[in-house]
This record gives sequence, C-alpha cells and structure tokens, in this order.
Amino acid sequence: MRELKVGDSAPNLVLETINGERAALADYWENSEILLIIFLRHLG
Amino acid sequence: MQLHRHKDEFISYDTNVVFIAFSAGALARNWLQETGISFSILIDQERIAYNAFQLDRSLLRSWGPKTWLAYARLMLKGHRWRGIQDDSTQLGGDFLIDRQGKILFTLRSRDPSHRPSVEKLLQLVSDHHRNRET
Repeated sequence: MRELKVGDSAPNLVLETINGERAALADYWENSEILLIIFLRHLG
Repeated sequence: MQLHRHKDEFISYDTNVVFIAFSAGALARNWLQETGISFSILIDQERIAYNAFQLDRSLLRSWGPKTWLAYARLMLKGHRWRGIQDDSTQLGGDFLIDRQGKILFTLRSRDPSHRPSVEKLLQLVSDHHRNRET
C-alpha cells in the first residue's frame, strides 16, 4: 500500500461518536478551515 | 492536556480538533472526564481509521524507555496511573487536513511519546491561515 503523504486526499471514513451516532470524517473537515485529527495512543 | 489549554487559539484559526480512540465508548468517556477536554471524540474499535491512516503497532516501541520516562513525568505532575487499558501496542498519529480533504501534515508516532508540540501545530495552522488570506 502506498504511504499517505502531504497533498494526498485523506480517507473519508464513517466512525461512531461517543453517543453511538455515525459521523463521517469529511463532515468535520468540510466544516472548518483545518481539521486536526489526533489518533490516541496509550499515553493519551 | 496541553492541547486543551490552547483551544481558543485553534478556534481562532478556524481549526476543528477531533480525537479518534480505539477504546470502547465507556473507556473513551472516562478519558474525557479525566482529562476534562471538550473536543470531539470518535470511536474506532475496529481500527478502520487507524489502518487507513497507516498507523503502526509495536510492543517494543510502545514500551521503550521514552514511554516509561513520559509516564514518570506525568505521575510527577500528579496524573493517576490508569493501568494498561486495551491494546498498548497501538501507536497513534496526528494529521492536519484542509477543507477539501487534502492532507497538510502527517506524523505517525514512532513511540507513544512521539507527537508534535502544540506550538508546532499552531504554527502550521497559522501559516495555512495566513497563506489563504494572501
């Protein structure tokens, strides 16, 4: 699989909110100039 | 959490912040309560997004000296040890994405303590904001 790099399109995935609702990542990036996504690791 | 203290600055650059967790919803809710953060959090128990964004898993790199040092620093600051929860080998990452869905910045963590500073992230969003205005 080719590495995702700067300039590539981000994968638009549908995940669940903490309340169990479905949410697409695109809904977040389309609603602001920039979206910062932080994938948690065990240090938080 | 340091990021939370700079929430207003991110807002001023029209930057939305979303956390993605692979823990079950209850664990994620506990984490939100403990940290007191008010950013959005999405649950990815099947790690669809972790895989799509190509984030590694590594036992060796997850529990190296840098991780122990980071935990020691947190505990010295008064944080409570929560024990091992879920898969401690899963590494994280940080991504900036523009309104069109283009990736502006990537950092895939080499170990759990490897992450961009808040200052670096603010500089990147500030630069992007300025470039759009000119």
